[in-house]
Amino acid sequence: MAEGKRTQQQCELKQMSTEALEAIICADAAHPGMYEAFYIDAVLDELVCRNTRNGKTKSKEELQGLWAKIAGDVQQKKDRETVEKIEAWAMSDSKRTGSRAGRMWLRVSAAAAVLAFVILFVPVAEGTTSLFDVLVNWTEEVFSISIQGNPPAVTDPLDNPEYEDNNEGLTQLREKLREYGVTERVVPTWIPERFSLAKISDYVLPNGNYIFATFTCEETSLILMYCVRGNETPFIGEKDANNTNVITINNITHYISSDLSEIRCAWVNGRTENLITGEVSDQEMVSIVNSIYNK
Amino acid sequence: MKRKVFSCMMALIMLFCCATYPVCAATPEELAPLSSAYISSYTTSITRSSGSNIFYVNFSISGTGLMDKIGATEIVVYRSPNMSQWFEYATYRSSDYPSMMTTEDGGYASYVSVTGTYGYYFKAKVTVYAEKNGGSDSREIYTNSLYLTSSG
Repeated sequence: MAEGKRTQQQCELKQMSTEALEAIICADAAHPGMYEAFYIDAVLDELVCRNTRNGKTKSKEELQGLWAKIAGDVQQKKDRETVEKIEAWAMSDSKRTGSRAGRMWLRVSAAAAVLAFVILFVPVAEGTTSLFDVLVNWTEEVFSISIQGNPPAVTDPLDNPEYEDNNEGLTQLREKLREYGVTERVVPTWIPERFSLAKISDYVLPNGNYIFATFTCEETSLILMYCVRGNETPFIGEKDANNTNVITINNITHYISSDLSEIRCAWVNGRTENLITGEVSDQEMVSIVNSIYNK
Repeated sequence: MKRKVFSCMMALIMLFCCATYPVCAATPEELAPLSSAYISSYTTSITRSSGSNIFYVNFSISGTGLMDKIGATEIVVYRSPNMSQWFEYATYRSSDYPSMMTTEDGGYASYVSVTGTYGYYFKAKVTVYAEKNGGSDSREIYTNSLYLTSSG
């Protein structure tokens, strides 16, 4: 790597909080190879530097050992949490779907639908395909997602907008996004019929452009938020203690979580962070997400 | 007689403690999770204008529907010479800076520009806020920190 880029990275590391640096070490230990070795080395150097400034005298080796232990603990905790999440999801699923035969039929149908979707829709990804370009974390209370590098993108040429939206508001939203040069496929072609467009707002900030589309139906709402970003600031969503469901379509991972009566789907497509939040059912949210990639 | 009265009082106190114990021993789920009926998501950041001592505190917030008021009520900027001690540098309130808040929208994004001093670290605390039908909620979020060099 060029010396200039390394110096730039060192400057960036100096501006990051100690917690953020520790998170990088933990993330790398939990997912070996997530970052390049020299980058981890630079992060450790920066941590040692800060440690010395604060009057502590831990060596780099001691810190490495400490972070490895932390990372091990994190991984163990993560494994436990994953198992618990899967079990809890299965339990909540059984509560929702009723009889055993019904549940089995639903699972078979869902598996067939996913399989058909994967077979029918050939990925049109452009750019890199590193799965670690999007950093995602969630706890029982918050969900965060941020762009770290060059995430995969599913794009459309600007002159090929062949969509059949079931709601005029979606067409207006797509046109608004195109004004900001967004060519990624991020707008669904279907939302539940009961919603109608209340407002589309767009804001230009020094760190990126934000577009909000608010659909309403009496007292309920569906909000589509898009952020075309220029930096790596995490976007934080609130959630309740229920599980986060993960759906991967065309190499793009979508995270579906709930927050009280709302269901939220967050994902990154290229340089665009996307969020759909609304008082809809799990199945409706999956249909909304699927409609993004339908031709 | 005094002993009997004292014993009865102690028994009553014990019964009262036992009766109220479940309220005190709430499960983690009952300890008010962070979920909000008004705020769905938010983000904050601090970015620099290249080649000057001006930087920007950016924020965005998404509500849980069409909100009566949505945005940030306060932005406090902190300055530090060494990243360990932080001192209040400037405060921006929506009452003085109307662009920090909007009405009748599902989401909002805005920023304030700050003139800093070279050779210091800066960070900010943003209080995002959403209000609907007389009810409201807010969150305090800290940005990343920024080192202001004259060369950058």
